[in-house]
Amino acid sequence: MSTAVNGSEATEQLAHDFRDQAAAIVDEVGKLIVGQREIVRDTVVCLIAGGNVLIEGVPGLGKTELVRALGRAIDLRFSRIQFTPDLMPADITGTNVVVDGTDGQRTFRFEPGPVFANLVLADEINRATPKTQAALLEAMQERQVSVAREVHVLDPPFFVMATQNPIEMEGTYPLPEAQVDRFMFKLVVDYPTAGELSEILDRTTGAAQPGVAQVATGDDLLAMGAFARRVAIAPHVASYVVDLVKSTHPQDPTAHQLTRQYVRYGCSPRAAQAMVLAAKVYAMLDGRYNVGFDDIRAAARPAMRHRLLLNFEAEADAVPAEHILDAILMSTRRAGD
Amino acid sequence: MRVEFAPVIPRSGSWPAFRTTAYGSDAFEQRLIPLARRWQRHQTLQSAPRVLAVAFGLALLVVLVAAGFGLPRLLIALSLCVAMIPVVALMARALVAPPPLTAALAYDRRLAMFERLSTAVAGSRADDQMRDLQRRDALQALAGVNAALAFPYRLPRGELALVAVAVVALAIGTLAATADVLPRVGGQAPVSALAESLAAAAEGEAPALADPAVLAQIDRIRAAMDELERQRDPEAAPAALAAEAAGEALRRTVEGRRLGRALDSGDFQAAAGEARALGEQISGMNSTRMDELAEGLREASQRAEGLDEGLASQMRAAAEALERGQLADARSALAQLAQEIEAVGTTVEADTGLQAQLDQLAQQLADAETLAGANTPGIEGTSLGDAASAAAGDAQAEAGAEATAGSQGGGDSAASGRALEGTLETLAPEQRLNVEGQLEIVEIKPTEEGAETVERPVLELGPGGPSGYEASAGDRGFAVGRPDVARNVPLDMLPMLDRYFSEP
Repeated sequence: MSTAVNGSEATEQLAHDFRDQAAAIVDEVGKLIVGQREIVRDTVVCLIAGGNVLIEGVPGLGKTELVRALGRAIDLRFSRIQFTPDLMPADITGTNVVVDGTDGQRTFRFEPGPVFANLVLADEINRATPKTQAALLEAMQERQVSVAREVHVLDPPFFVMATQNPIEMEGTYPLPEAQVDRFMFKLVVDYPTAGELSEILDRTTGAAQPGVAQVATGDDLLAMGAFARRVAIAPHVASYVVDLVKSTHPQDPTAHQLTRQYVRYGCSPRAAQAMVLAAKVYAMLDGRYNVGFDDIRAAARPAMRHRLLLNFEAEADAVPAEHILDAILMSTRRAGD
Repeated sequence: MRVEFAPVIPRSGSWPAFRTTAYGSDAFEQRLIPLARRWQRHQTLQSAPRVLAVAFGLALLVVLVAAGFGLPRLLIALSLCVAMIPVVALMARALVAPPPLTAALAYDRRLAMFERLSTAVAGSRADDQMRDLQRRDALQALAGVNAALAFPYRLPRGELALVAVAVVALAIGTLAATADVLPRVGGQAPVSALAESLAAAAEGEAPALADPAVLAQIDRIRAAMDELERQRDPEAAPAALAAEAAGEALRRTVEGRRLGRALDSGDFQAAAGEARALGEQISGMNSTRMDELAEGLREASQRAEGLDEGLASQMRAAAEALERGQLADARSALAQLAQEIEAVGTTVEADTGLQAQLDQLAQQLADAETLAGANTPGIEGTSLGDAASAAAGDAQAEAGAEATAGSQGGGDSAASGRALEGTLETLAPEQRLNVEGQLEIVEIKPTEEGAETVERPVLELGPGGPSGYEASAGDRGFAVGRPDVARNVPLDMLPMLDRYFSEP
């Protein structure tokens, strides 16, 4: 019994540490990023949950700065890849080069690309061609890179934080569905408010530049992620997640009316996984040891918005995925309703 | 817009557990039990008005249907009990604890507890340490719950009014059903005694009864008429006749003409004045006029004898005084005659007033008896005849009496008018034409003289006058003797017969 009590107390201490470290990361990033508290929180949640993040927004809203700040707040190997149309896959993954040996013989040696880091910033990822974009597929999902029949495992933790411009912009290539699905969250950065804009001016145009202290390590992130996975989720809450995902499938009998009308393909199981993992982190950040319906609802939009493949009718009617998700969240019954 | 109604009867998944063994023995679930009961009572109160309103409405429907089909009262009461089952279920529901997960979800939702309680109840796949932490967290949250604030006992007032209306409707419906005032399906409407008796009379089973209200009115009228008859002075009518007879005798004299006219016309006040005037004028009369007046008074006295002795004696006294030439006695006698005339006038006028009232009552009686039903033998034979005779000269009442008697066929001389079709040759022996040219059914009771009929040739009838044919008087008609037919013809038809049988 005492062992159990001691175990519970240790777990409780871990939970406290979890909250403290997560709050510290958010606070440090917040020193550099004005406003966007929700974006920062969701980004940190993705890092803790071990997911990749796709951040969308017009240029100049601080997307890159956010990722850079995270890289500084957490002791991680950080690399940045600026995606351009002429970028090649080998520029990302690395390639074998011929080197002269000490014995005078020439041999091939793998030269790792920028993907071999803990935190990879894929800046403006949709400016590269799909072929180059696909170079990240294996790394994002399986945490490894295959080059010349050799598999190179990436060191944990590994996160890809991609930024992209709205796909309507000139010179962009929409990400393939398979790659989009590998992003745990898609966050949309909006313009700052007037107050936030004034704060940005104050911080960035003065002599003193705000610094970001390192408050966590990669191992901390891994530990936090592992601890978050222990959070309890009741069957009726998990069932709610399933109902939400099923509501996005046009052929499903429980599909929402808007789903049947506007959705071509619904969310994959990765969406449900992303929602549950993120909800567990939300619960821990909130000081709870169980997932609530509100945690699921908070994770639903960023986890599902990029996984809904809309049909032509939705584009013609200018119906965004968020509109359909809101309708699904409104109509899906929860236990006790 | 979608309208959702909260279910009156809970879905199967939310039926209460009728025991609390569904709750574990640990502190968390033991603490949850009173909260669950609280929530259950709160939910029961919230749904009670609707359930009660529906239950009472159903009960009312059942009672009315049972009453409509004439089911026994015991069955109505049984139906009422069956309809009250939801009420009993409601009370039972309030007394038991709901399933733990239902209660936990309710508190999670009401107090924004982020599914702490329901997760603790439902469990999870988390490791033991995390489950313990979660349960401790839930218990800590549960300890701070104020159930009275979370789920207060309140009844929705608007729906209470609905329940009140339903209760009142059910009470009225039950009373009406048990009092047998409701119409029954397939049954006949309540039949009034009057309609029932008239229908029976039409089928010849029993004499018809009049409307009780009308019969009561008839009785009242008769009572009033009897009272008036008792108040009448039996000497008033003879006195009036005596005055009329005396006036007729006095009108022939020069001096007594005006007195006679006044008496004849029934103007007793004027007559009294004329008598006094005569007393003052006799001193200026010559002997011839005085003798003539004395003779007139004596004749008037003789005519009034047997009818009004007082009037006759005063006239006789005045005549004797005049004959004797004793003017003072004559003047005194005429003055006393004037007083007697005034007394007679008072008596006759009072009687005339009573008679007028009787006539009016007779009219009302005739109307009431007509209304009471023409087929009533008792009315036709007795009171109606009396009413017709009492209302003398009232042709309408008389016609009504005849029509009544005609339809019944029970009177001595009955008539039923209808248009005559064909010629007189088609008339049956008991048929005749009345003065209006309508056919009547008559029963002739001829006198002995009228019974004698003499057969005469047809050609002897005609414009030769009454001697041209032999006729015998029957009841309101003549029996005309003819060689081929013998029938009774009304007197009014004689001119028509003359034309009919006259030679061209």
